[in-house]
Amino acid sequence: MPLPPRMPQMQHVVINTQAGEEFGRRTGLPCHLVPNVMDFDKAPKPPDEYSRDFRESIGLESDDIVILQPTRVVPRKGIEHAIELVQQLNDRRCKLVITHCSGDEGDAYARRIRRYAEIMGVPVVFADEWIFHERETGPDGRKRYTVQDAYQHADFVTYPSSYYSEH
Amino acid sequence: MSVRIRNTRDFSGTVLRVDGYLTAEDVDELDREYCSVQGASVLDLTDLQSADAEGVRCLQRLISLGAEIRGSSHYIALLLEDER
Repeated sequence: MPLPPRMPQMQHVVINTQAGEEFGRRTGLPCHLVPNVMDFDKAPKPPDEYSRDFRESIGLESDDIVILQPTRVVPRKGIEHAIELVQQLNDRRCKLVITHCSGDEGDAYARRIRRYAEIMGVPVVFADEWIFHERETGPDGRKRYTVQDAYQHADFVTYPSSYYSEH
Repeated sequence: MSVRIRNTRDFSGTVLRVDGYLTAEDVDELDREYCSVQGASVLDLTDLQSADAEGVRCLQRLISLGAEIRGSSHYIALLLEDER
């Protein structure tokens, strides 16, 4: 069966308008747009009791300034630019917190990012071991948080992506 | 096109400035520009922000042909080193 299939009982979903235009060009089929980003028109709720200890859990001090990079560690996310930004802020309280791991795209970029952060003297917290799809307690007894919890504790959010998409 | 390639000259001869983000679609142009230069040439990467795998391979190829790298950031240096 060619993908995506033309079946009357099937509806198609894309994550951005660029993908929607490409989908329409290739298939001639309609699709629905479901952006895979936060709703930035709504302010996040303040941290609740569960997430109140997020900073402490991931090893941050209470007065640290959390620069949140809520992405996987893959080259098109341009995390090197977030590191350069934090370096230029020149404030020892600024910590770059990256929420996700490399995933299935290899770890060469993650290794490079770690080395670059060391060279630039930028503290980076790779927080993927604390952040999951749902709040839960891991087998090791440690609390796991969501990306939304990380947003609630962020002072600044970076998206220096090298890939442009109009949502 | 996410890169700008400029052919300039200084005391050392021809300098190719490569600015922006070097991707697979730009490597032919960079190859052409480099090959059109007579004699030793310099690649000034001061304003090169990043490069994809093809872009890195292109830069490494030019280095192996004798291009001198000037002004690369720590990140570009790591990129050229890692992809070897």
